[in-house]
Amino acid sequence: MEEGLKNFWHLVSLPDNVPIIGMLGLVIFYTWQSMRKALRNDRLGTPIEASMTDRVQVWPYLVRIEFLTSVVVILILTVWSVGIDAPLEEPANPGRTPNPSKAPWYFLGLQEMLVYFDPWLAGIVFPFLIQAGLMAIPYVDINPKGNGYYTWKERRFAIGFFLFGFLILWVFLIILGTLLRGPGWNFFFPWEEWDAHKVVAANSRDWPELFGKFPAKNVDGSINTGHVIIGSLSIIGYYFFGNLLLKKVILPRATKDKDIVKKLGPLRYGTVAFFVLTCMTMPIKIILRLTLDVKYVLSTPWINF
Amino acid sequence: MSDIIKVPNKRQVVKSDGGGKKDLVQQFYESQIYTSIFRHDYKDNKRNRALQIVNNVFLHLHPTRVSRHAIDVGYTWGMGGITLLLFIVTAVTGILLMFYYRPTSEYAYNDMKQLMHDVPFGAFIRNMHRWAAHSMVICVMLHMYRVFLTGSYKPPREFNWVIGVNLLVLTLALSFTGYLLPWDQLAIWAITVGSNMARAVPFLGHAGPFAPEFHQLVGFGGAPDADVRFILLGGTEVGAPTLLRFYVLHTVFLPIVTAVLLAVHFWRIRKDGGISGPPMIEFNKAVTDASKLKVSVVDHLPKYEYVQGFKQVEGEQNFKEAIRKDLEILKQKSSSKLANLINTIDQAAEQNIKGGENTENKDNHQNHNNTTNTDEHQHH
Repeated sequence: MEEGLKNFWHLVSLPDNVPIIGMLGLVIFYTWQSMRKALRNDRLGTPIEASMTDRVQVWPYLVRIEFLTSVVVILILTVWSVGIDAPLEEPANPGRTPNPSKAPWYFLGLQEMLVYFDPWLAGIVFPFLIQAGLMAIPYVDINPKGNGYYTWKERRFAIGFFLFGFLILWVFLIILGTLLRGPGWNFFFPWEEWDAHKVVAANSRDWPELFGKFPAKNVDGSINTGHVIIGSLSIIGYYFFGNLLLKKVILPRATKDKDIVKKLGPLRYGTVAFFVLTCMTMPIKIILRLTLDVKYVLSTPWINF
Repeated sequence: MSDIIKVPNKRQVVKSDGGGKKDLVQQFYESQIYTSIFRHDYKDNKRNRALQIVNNVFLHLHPTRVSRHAIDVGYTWGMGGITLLLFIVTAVTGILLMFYYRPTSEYAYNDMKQLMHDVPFGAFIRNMHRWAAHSMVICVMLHMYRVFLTGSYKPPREFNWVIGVNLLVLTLALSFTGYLLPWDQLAIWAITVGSNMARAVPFLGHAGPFAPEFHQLVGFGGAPDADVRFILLGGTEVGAPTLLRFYVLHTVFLPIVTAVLLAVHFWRIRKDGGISGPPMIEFNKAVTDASKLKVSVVDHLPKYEYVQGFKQVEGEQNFKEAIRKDLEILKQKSSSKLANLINTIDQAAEQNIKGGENTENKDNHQNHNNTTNTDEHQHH
C-alpha cells in the first residue's frame, strides 16, 4: 500500500504529468465557474453579459489586459522552465519495449478506448468521428438561444452532452490513462503497487455467448450463424431503440420542445442521432466489460464490434 | 467629424514650429523619428487611441472598440489569446533549438544531451519549448470548452468553429511530431504506440479490416505491411526515416499550415462580428452601425413625403408650381412661434447627424463634451 502510494505520487510529480494535473485543476475551476454563471443567468432571465452593452476602446482597455496576460504567462513559463527539466530518458532502443508503453498524454483517452474496441475502431474510426462530430456541431444545433452568454436552461441537451463527452470521455480518460494504468495497461488503484506480473482473469466472452452456445466460430472453424444473427440484431436494435428513445423522450424532454425532431429535419436529426448513439457505445461497452466481461458484441473474421 | 478635421497634420506642425524652446519630451514626440514611426501625435484622446490600433499592423487585428463584456476575462477566459502567445513562444524557442539539433538517428540524442548540459541556456530553451507546447494543447482545449459553453459557434460563427477544430487537430499533430524528436525511449515508444493505430486503418492498414482482401485486389505495391503506416513512418517501424519525416513535418509543414489557418481564424473573428455576445449586444452593435448610414427623419423624410404628396394630388406637370405657392403661403403665415419651432427642429436634425459618428458613452474625457448629449439623443 505504501509502495503503491509512493509510486502514485511519483507519477503525479513526473515532469510530463505536471501539466495534466494543472489541466485537471483548470477544467474543474472553469466548469464550476461557467456553471455558476450559467445558473445565475438563468435565474436573472437576461444574461449578465447583456448589461455590459456599452463599448470601450481597445487601446488601452483590451491591449493592457493582453499585455499583462502575456507577462504573467511568460513569467509562469520561465519559472516552470527553470524549476523543472523536460525529461530525457535513455537513448532510443527499438529492442527494449518499456512496460507500460503509453502514447502522448492527450491521446491516452484514445488509448483507453483500445481496451474496449479493436484498433480500427478506437484508433481510426472514433478519432475521425470525434473530429467530424465536432465540426458538425454548429450545423446541427439549430437552437438560436444561448449564443454569446453562459446558460444551462436554454441549451440543456447540447451542454449536457458536451460536458459528458469532454469531462468523462476525454479529460477523465486522460487522467485514468496517465495515473491509473500500469504495466500491461492493467488498472491499478493509487494505493496499489505496480505489479508487472499481475494476472488478470481472461475469461471474457462475446455478447452472443451470454444467450447460449454462440461462439464466434464453431469448433470446425466455420462461422456460427447464431452468433452473427444475435450480434447484428443487437447492434441494429441498439441504434433502432436508441433512436426511438432519443426521438421520443430525450430530445423533446431536454429541449422542452415536442416538435424538435421535426424542426431539425431528417438530415440534421440523423446526424445528431448517429453521433450521440455512436458516442454512447463507449460507456456502454465499458459497463458491459466491467459487469459481464463482454469482449465483442459481434465478432466476424473481418471485423469485430 | 469636426475635431478629426481640426487636428493638423503632425508633420506640418514639426516644420512650422521647428522645435526650439519646447522641453525634451515634447521635442521627442514631435521629432521626425517619432512621427515617422507612429503616424499620429501622442496626446491622449479618443482619436489617437483609435489610431493606435488602426495604424499598427499587429494591433489592428482588433477593432478600435469592443463591447465591455468582450474584455471581461470571466467571460472569455483569454484562452484563445494565450494559445496564440504559446504558439509564438514555441516558434521562437523552436527556432533556437533548430540551431543545435540535427534530425538524424546518429546525432539527435547526443544533440539533446548537449542541449541539456553544454549549450548556454539550452536546457532552459528546451524546457520552455516543451512546457509551452503542453500548455498550448491544454489552452486549445479550454478555449474550445469556453466557445462551446457560450454557444459562440452559433451563426454567424459556424465556419470559424470548423477552422478551430482543424487547428485543434494541427496542434495535436504538431505536438505528436515533436514528441519523437528527442529520440529517447519515451519518444520512440510513445510514437510507436500512437502510430500503431495506422496499421488498423480499414483497407489501407495491413492489420485493418478487409486488409487482405484489399491487398489482393489492389495491392500496396510491395510487402503486405507497406501500408499507410509505412508512408507515415518511412518504414515498418519507428526509425531514422521517421525521425526525418517528423522533423520536417514538425518544423516546416505543420507550422506553416497552422499559421495560415490562424490568420483565417482571426480574420473570421473580425468578419463575423468580433467576440460573441448576448442578443442585446448584437442588437446595439447593429443599431450603432446602422445609425452611421442614417439621415435624420426631421430633415429628409417629411420633405420627401411633402413632395410626393403634391405630386400625387397635382400631377407630374403641376406639382412644382403648387409647391412654390404653398411655400409662399407658409412664409406669410409663419409667426415668430412657428419660426422658433422650425429652428429647434433644424438644430435637432443637425445634432442627430453629428451623433451618428460618435456613440461612445463610457470612457469620455474632458475634451469631448459635445458627445455626451448626442449620446443621450442616440439612446432614445
